[in-house]
Amino acid sequence: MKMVKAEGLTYEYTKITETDHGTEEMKMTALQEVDIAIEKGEFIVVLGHNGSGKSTFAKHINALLRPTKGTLWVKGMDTREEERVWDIRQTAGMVFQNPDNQLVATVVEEDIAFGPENMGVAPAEIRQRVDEALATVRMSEFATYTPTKLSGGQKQRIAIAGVLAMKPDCIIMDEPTAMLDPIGRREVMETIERLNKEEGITIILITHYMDEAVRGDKIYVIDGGKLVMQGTPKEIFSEVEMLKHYGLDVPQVTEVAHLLRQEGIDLPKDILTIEEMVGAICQLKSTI
Amino acid sequence: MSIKINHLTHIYNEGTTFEKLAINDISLEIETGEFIGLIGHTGSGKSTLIQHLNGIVLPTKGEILLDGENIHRDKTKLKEVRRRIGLAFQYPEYQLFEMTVYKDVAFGPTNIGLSPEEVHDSVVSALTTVGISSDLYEKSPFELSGGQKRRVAIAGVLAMNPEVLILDEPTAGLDPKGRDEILAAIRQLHKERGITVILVSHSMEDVAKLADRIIVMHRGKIAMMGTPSEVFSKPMELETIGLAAPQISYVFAQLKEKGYDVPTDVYTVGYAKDALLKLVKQVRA
Amino acid sequence: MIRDITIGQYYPAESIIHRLDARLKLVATFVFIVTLFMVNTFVGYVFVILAMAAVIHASKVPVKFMLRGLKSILIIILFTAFINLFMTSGEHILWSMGFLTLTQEGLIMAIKMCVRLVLLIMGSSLLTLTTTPIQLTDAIEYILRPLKKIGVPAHEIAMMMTIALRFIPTLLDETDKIMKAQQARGADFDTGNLFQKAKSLIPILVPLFISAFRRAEELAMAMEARCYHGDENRTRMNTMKMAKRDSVAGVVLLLYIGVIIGLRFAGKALPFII
Repeated sequence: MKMVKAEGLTYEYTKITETDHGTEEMKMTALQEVDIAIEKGEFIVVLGHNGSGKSTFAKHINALLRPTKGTLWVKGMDTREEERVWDIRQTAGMVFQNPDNQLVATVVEEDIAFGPENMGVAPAEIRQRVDEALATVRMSEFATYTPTKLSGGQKQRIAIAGVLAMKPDCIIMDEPTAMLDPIGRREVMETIERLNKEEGITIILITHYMDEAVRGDKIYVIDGGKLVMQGTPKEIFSEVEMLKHYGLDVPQVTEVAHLLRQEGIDLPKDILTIEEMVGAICQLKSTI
Repeated sequence: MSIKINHLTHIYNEGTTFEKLAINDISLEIETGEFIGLIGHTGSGKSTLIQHLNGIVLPTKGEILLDGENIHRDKTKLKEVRRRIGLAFQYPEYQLFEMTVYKDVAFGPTNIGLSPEEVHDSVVSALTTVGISSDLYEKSPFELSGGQKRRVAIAGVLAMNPEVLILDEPTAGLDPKGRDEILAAIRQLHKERGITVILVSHSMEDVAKLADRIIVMHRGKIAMMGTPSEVFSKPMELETIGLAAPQISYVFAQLKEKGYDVPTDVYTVGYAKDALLKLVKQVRA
Repeated sequence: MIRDITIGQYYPAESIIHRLDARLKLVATFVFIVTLFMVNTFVGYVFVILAMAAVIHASKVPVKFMLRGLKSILIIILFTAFINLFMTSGEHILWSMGFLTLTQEGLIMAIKMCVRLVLLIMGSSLLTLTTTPIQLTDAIEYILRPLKKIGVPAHEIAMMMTIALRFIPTLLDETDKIMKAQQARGADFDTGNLFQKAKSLIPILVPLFISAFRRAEELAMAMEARCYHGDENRTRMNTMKMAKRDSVAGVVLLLYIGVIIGLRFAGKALPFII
């Protein structure tokens, strides 16, 4: 069974704008005929500029939004089935962009307990889950802190722990590093990778940062509500012109390699990291 | 206009248990027309430093001289100081409050007592510089996209015709397109108006593209200062204080280590391309 | 600064008072406040002050810390004293000037009211100083629970209090930031008449409200994503359990009430010990 499966996923809404002649209603399409299949344990990255529909997609997986056409299944559960909604949210947890606006309690461990408490887990087990989740995000010593005393990266790790305590199979992260400084970003990315590699949790990461995107198993590019590109990071980033067309960045090394290829220098199309770039240049010397 | 900072120290909550040394004896000079990139991670003191420059925060010790005059000597002139040194805070769109884009941008120039005609000219000129077209003037600022809101908010500072513009993380949270639009507007502004710009950022790539001089802050002190080439040629030094050089700088550092004859002060894509082309030609010859 | 206020703050320490059940502490504070207004004799006041001192001592909260909390309401205390000093009519005039008349009754009344006020503030701040906000809201939820049958939303009230406590520091920071940002745009909050000052608040209040609503919306979504659906089938990690020390404290509380009632009757019988 696929972790997440979308077939013809479409989401339309009505936008009401005030004009001089009264209100005007406009039908908007945020997602259009999206087909996606995500396997258990995969690390998926979703790219797209603001307003492309990628956040709308993310909210569908958590059943915060429901398709107006087409279907989305989370571990076989149709998100339109009202009675499955709590199972779906427990299976596919969600972490949001602003670390300040998703922590509920004034004490870290109380906040992490919030999810399992809502699910009706027994008190002793909640305690155990909270301790485990804190250990997984390496924040155990902050259990009794108040969130306002933590850095952005730490708050975001607490938010991740809050989802972990619900024992999800999949976590959707909607630009979790957008508001963080480089240290915070590093902390959060390390945590995400560890969850994927060590805990086997399926990750769906929405980001603008290309250095984060290259770490995924597979990348989906969404533009204008449509799925326009999909493939491994190497496949996606070898299409430098396409990415720029969709308003996205490419890593600096990929761009330099792309420019050098245009100058007739024989470099591989799929250079993503510093090491690959250095390696390719050394290779170049030995072949001459 | 030159800014001179003499032995500036700032301590938050002095004398309480929450006492925190934010700035530790900094001295610095900024020349007219410079484009400064100020970097450092959260808590390094960079935000506190820029808030001193337009007199919003009082120094615990030391002084800030504007064209040789201490900005706190004459309290009545503080408003004038704030006009001359424009400060756009982080997430400036959260300060928007007026009914229309036009009125919001006019808030600053009206406050400093410009005549209605002058206000109009300043508003139009500022909005044009940041790329907001006139059909948006009468819209509510809250209807705009994230990138547009940010640009309107920056125009609100720009409309006061400052001689120095300080921007705290102007691209934080934007997508690549929104970021490029803001950076293009800032570059244009610096070129056209010749004003001094201080850009505070986490993004080394952004700073590398724009700044003439980079100041790196760490724990309330200036850790590094120099041209982008000078600063980014020491990626390891940046790493130890929790920062990083642009990705491409590392490629050249590693190539140098392997014995290649390459420059180590490469930090932009364009320069990297030229340097690598040269290297390939050398090898082929 | 707004942040200097100590009322409502928690003071972390290892003490018997900290460890007591929050529900008991809540009830005890309520009882204490009621007894403050029952006391009418000098001996009674001495007893209440001694009881208070004993609890403060047991709580390990530094007296200095408690007094600092009083500083912020000094104006209210002085105002109360002033009103009572000069507005109480009486026969024994001690001093008089113009329309101000100081009577013996007024003086006694002023001292009584100030002592009551100070004790009231100290008593309630002792509750918040020794009880975490979470424990306190849980206790309120528990105590209000019987009222749910008549439509009192006990869980929702507690949840709102928790969220308010969580977001107060965030919104204070935000206010500070917005004020600075508008100051940088030449806004002036200090000069002008009352009307101008009120008007100058608009550039602060509008962004603050918009931000608070945005936060509320995002938080609501985040809570929903974490399966929040009211208190139906909801469990708690920390369940409240009465321990032996709580029973002992309960007995002490009963004794205290007994003494207060006793003193009140004794006061009636022996009025000379005012």
